[in-house]
Amino acid sequence: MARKKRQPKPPAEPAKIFEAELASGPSGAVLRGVEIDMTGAIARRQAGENIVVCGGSLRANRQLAQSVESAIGPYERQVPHDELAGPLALPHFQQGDRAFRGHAFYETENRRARTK
Amino acid sequence: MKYFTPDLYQRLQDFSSDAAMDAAEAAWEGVRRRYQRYLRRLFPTLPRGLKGLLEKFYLHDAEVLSMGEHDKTFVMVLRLDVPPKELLVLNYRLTKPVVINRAALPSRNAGPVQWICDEVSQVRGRQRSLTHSILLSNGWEITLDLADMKVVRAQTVYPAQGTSLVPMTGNGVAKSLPAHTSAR
Repeated sequence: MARKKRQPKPPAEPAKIFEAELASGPSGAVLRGVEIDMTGAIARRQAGENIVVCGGSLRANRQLAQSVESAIGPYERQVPHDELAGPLALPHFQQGDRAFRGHAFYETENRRARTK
Repeated sequence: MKYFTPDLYQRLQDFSSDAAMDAAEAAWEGVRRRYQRYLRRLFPTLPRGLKGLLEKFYLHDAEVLSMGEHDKTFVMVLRLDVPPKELLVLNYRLTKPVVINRAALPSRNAGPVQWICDEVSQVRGRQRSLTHSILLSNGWEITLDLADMKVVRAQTVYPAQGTSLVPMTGNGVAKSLPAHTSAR
């Protein structure tokens, strides 16, 4: 019997940036707000607020989040710690100087932001 | 830390290529799954207070407002990063003096000290001993051998939201550190 041809994966959507907030409680979830552009994202990060990059491939999302964070200053990368609490947490970049609040989150294949 | 080692954490900070970043994420994910299996087996045997801490609070990026010890008690005061940014007072009853490695991470972040990650482990010897290890953004690793712990949660009155406590000089360490802390 002939094998079924695998359907090719649809091309990933372009990565987009959104305003973001942390959900309350132990879930670690990130709530996605309205879409913003790069300038808006940098302004938001400069103000210590959160953003999230969604919709693209892992690498595209990560690169875009990294570009935003690098515009602010020296940064580092964090990944979810969700062994019990925080099952909905997203990986993110944040400033090395912890006086600077907020995060540049990004979605992965398995971890998504929630809509508000 | 036996699972989330400082070295594994440092690998996440290699931004030299997409491949390096993918590899670091995959390595972390592999360790995270192994630790998750281990913790699920261990969980039923944990003291109630520690179970509650691990289940009910997302501790990543919580601000460490203060720490202190007296006899067999070690206390940490945290302000959570997630809304409503509650205060947590962690009160550990220790079986051994706290061990603080002040040079666990080569990079030490400026600004307020934050909780990066933690892990619980059990060593089977003549007596079972339970350890809670915590990695902080100032490069410290804190190792607590505990018999029990309690968590008190409270709405923050001070410091107000948007206010951070930042060391004015050095790393904010008291001049007379306990003898069992090290700068390994």
